[in-house]
Order: sequence, then structure tokens, then C-alpha cells
Amino acid sequence: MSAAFKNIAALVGVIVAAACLQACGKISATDPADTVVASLPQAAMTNYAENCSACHGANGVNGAARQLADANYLASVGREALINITTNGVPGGFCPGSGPASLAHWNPKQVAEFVDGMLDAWGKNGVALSIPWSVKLAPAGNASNGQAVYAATCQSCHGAPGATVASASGSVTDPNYLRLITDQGLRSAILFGRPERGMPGWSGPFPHQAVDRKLSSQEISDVVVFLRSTASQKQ
Amino acid sequence: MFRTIKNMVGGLLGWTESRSGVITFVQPILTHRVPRDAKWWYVFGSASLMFFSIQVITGILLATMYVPSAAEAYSSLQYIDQQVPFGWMLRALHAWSSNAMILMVVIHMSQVFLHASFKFPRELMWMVGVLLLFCTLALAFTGQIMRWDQDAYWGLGIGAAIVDRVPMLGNQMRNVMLGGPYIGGATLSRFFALHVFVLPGLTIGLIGAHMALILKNGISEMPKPGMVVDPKTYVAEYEERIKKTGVAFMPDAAQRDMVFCGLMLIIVGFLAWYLGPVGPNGIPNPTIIDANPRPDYAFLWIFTAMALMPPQIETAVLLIAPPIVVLFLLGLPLISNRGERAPSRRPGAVVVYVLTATALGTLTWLGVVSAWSPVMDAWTSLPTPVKYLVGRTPLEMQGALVIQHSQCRNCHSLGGEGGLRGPNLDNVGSRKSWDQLVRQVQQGGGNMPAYGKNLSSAETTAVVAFMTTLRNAGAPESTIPGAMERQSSPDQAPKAVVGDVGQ
Repeated sequence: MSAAFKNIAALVGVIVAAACLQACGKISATDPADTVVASLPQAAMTNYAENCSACHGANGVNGAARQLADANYLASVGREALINITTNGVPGGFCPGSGPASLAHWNPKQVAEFVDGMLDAWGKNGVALSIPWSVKLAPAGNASNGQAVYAATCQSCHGAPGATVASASGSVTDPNYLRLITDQGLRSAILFGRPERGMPGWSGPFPHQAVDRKLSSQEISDVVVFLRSTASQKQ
Repeated sequence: MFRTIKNMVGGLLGWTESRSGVITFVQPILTHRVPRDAKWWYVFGSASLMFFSIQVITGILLATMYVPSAAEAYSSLQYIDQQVPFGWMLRALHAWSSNAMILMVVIHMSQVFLHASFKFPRELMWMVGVLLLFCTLALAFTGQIMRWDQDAYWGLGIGAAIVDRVPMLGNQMRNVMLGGPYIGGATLSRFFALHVFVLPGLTIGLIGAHMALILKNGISEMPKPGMVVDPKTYVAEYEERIKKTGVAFMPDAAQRDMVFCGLMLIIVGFLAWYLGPVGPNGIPNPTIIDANPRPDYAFLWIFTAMALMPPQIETAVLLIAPPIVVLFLLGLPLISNRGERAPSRRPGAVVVYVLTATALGTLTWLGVVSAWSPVMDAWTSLPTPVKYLVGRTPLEMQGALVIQHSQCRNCHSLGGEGGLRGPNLDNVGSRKSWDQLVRQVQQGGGNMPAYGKNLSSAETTAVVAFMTTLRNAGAPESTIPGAMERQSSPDQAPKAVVGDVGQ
């Protein structure tokens, strides 16, 4: 008798297990990632989770690519340029964009809703930079000036160009790195830093510098040109 | 007053009985004697019948609302789910009760096989039962078509492709199955006819035959080692034992059936309420290429077998295996209709059963996981695990972007998320050296395509730099020497501490 009851209990277990499996399947199939910042509007959140979170991180932070949940970045770049980047991606970079021509197929309305959702959720109280963020608007740089600025502000973490010992934060003069990052990527990294990784933006504080040391637009252009020159020297 | 009513009812019954003989007919059925030891093992057949009854009732109710046309089927299901009061529950009950019916039929059949109840004189009962199994599966398959969603569409497509492989007649058979050369409105109409008229009618008839044979031959006793079946003496011995020790079906055996069926009913009702109706999934449009169709549970094992089978044996297996299985199942009681019934004396049968159950279970599980299938949206939707980004150099971070951008994770998982087609990359840095990783990325191998032409040398270097940092806590960097010189760059030089900081 008791053996029979065990069999029935096992059967019930099988049914329940089958049900749980089905439930899991349903949840993973239909749920958008629920880890995205909740204040992104629903449609934008779903689109972000399906198309952007892989590189930019689940919450717009802590991804391998630029942090998007950065109010000052969003404010400085501005709605129009954000719509352009979201639609067309980054030329020469990895971001493929999500516009009508991309695999994501967002229509212009979806792009605008997404950017507005991002500005609304992550861009509150952002302060736009007083210097141009875009390389297109930046002054032409000078490599030898850039070398001096690099030595004074960057070298303590990123090491001297051509150094054979690993630096604390890794080399930014590695020729392979420089082949993969665009000038805009370099300028944005210097302007806005990588706050989630501990890298300060243009206003510092850089180690061994006064807290308020700010790089000028010209100095940043110089550093970018200098970094490029290190790669071409090697080649 | 009471007496008057009693007289009236009695009179009515007597009137009916004298003209129909219904009581004389039903009474021996209810009180037919069954073996005393026929206990909880014998409830699964009744449960199958109960679930079939639920299917009939819910099916009739669904048929009053479902529109069997290719244009409207999908929206009529949404109408039932969203507009009809408790329509969703009706669909959920129909779906979950069908799963439960298949499960009960399979368990019932397992019990009959393991206890060798199919032996003399119950060969025909087994054969009818096998036909009922096929009817059940056919009902499940055609029912899946009724959902008229992506699963239905691709399920039909695969079914048609199988039929199409039959030599000579394949084309004609496919046309008969689909109502033309392709899946369309005629397809749904004929599957609707099968699902609501032909198959249920056939099933009811076969159930009738199954029950009549039970009454004719009686329920088999629990098998005892040494109690052999000999066709010459079995019937007389069985009747003798039943007369001596048997009990009436009603209420002795029936009450156990009722308890079990009630329990199952509660469970299936709960599942239906908790999990809701199954489907409809995406709309059945063949131009939607990011469909991820899956068959229902009962057919997942076929799905897996088809996916994993080497292509060159597919046609042979698809055309030869089903007839063999059908012939084996139908012919089983003819091959072996006498002798021992106890599983302990039939090790061969037990081994066959265990192997079959393991194979079907494994194939079904593999179908659920479907590890051979890349996760097509992993590259855009699964964030790189944060712990793998902590303390990484700019080049390694670019490598993490290459991993996402080149869609590596559609086949390789990171942090437990991503495809299972290739090995996971969580500890790849201690499995493969720098040189081996470069070679693997550029030349592929072991089912992996070569990415040498798709990645620049900088991208390859970055992705390899990132992968060498993927090591379990404390695991050393793989130091298998290779032919290639490591390029001199500070970030590629061996580091004192590279680690999975997050772990």
C-alpha cells in the first residue's frame, strides 16, 4: 500500500515539475529584462533590453561600452545628436545603431521615444559641458603639446607610451586599442571619464593634480592627436 | 407525499427498465468482480478516461467560439482568452488536461507493459490500447495545429516535410495532408475536422471496445513471480480465483479511482488557473525569421531526434523507424502471450522499458534546453557580466565589445547566459593559451566557424586579451606554449595579478 502511495506521489511530482518547466519557458520567452532602470518608459525599456544592454549594461551602467545613465553626458551631447547616434550607430565603432536601416528596425518615432525616455530617466539635472563634446567642433590638436598634457594627467594611471610594464589602468597607447577606438571615443572618454570604472572626466581630479584642474578643449584635442601619433610611430 | 414521489420515481424507473433493460445492462458492469489486489496501480486507465471526458466537454465549449479559418483562428483564440468570461480558463483546462491525459496514458501503458497484463487473454485489449495511444497523440498534434500560431505553422511544416520524404507517394501524401502544396486555409479546415470529428469519434469507439474487452476478460491480477500464464488453463483459473477472492468494482475499486481522479482534477485545475492557456504564440507568418517554434511536450523528443540526427540517415530513420515501432507495439502480445508476468522474472522487458523511458526522457529534456540552437538575440540583449569588466584594461574592454558585436555569445555563454552550442567562456583563459585562442578565433574548428576574415587583427587581439582574463578565481593563465610570439605590448605582458575580481 505504502509503495503505491509513493508511486502516486512521484507522479504528482512529475506533473508539478512539468508545469514548472512550462512556467519557466513562458517567463523567459515573454519577459523583457526586468533589470533595466524602471523609470525608462515601458517601450523604451524593452527596446533597450533587447538591443543596447549587451554593451551598455543592464541599467545603462557597468557595460563594456560607454555609460549611458550619465546625466552630464546626455545633457552635453543633446537630444539631436543622441537621436543621430541611436539611429545610425557610431561610424568606425562597434555600435550598430537601431534605426530603420539596422537589424533592430526602430522607426524614427521609436528612436525619439527611446531618446526622450533616456533623457527623462537618466538625464535629470545633467549639466552640459562648456566645451564642445564633438570632435567635429573641437579645435585641431598638436601632438607635442598633447604629450605634455598626457604626461601630466594621464600617465600616472595609463603608463608612458611604449612602457613594458603594465600600468594600473591599462595602456591607452596600445596600437590595437587605438585601432579600435575612434577619435570621438577618445575625446568622450577624456571629457566624461568612465565614472563606473573610477576614471575621472575632464575636470578631474586627476592624481598628482589640483582637484579643480580642468583640461581645455584644445588640450583634449592635443592629447587625442598625441595618442594617434604614438600608434603611427609604432607602425 | 414522500411515498407518492417514491412510487412515481419507481414507476418511471420500472417503465424505462421494462422497455430498455438499462438497469439489467448497467448493473453487472458496475458490480463485475475485480481482483482484490488490484489497488493503486490500476487507477491510471480511469484517470486517462476522465481527462478524455474533460477534453470532450471543454472541446465542445471551445468549438462554440473557435473560428476554424486561417484568417480568424488566431484572433478568435485571443477573443476567447480576453473577452469571453473564463474563456482563458477553458482554454487552459483543455491544454493542461490534454498534457495530463498523455501522461496518464503513458503511465497506464507502462504499468500494463511492466506487469505484462497484455498476455493471454488480453492481447486485443493491448492492441486497442496502442491504437488509443496513437489517437491521443494524434489529438495532441492536431490540437496544437488549432492554435494556428508559429508553433502550429512550423510543426505542420515539419510534418509535411516528413511526409514528403515517402518515396513515390510523398508529394501526393503531402497534398492530402495540407490540402494543397502549401500550408493555408484548407490545411486548418482539415485538421479541424480531424481534431473535432474524426479523432474523437474514433477514440470514443476504441474506448468502448477497450471497456467491453475489460468486462469480457476481467482486470488482470497483480503479477506474482511463479504465477505463469498458460492459455490452456488461465481463463478457468482466473475465474475461480476471482469468484473466491474478487471484490465488486463498485464500490471497492471504483472508490480508489474516484480519489485519484479527484486529486488529478484538482492538480490540473490548479495548473490551468496558475499557468493559464498555452499559446497562441507569434502569428503564423513564414516571413518572420526570428520565430522560435517549439512543439508541445509530447513531441519534443521527435524535435530533438530530428535536430541531432546526422542528415544522411534522416530519411531512412523517418521512414523505417515508425513502422517498426508501430509493429512492435501492436505485435507485442502476439510475440509473448504466455509465461511469467512479474517484472522480476522478465529482466529483458524491464531493460527495454528503462532504456526507452531514459531515451525519451533525455531527448525531451534536450528538446527543452535545445542546446544545439544558438540564442539568436544574446549578442544584443545579454549584458556582459559586470564582474568580467572590473579592472580590465581599455584593450580588454574593447575585446568585451568584440565578443558582443561579433555575436560570440549566441553560441558561447558568459556568466551562465548565452548559447550552449559552444563551450562557455567563463574560464577559457585557463583552458587555452593566448596563442591557442588566436588560432581558434581565426581558424575556427570543432564546429566553430573561422573568424579570421571577419575580425581585424586589432579585434582579434582585443578579444583574445579579454578572454585571457576570464579565469576562475585562483586559476592560473594557461601556459601551453605556442609557436606564435606574443606581440610586445604592456597589456599583453603576463601580469602578476589578473583575476576574476568579482568571484
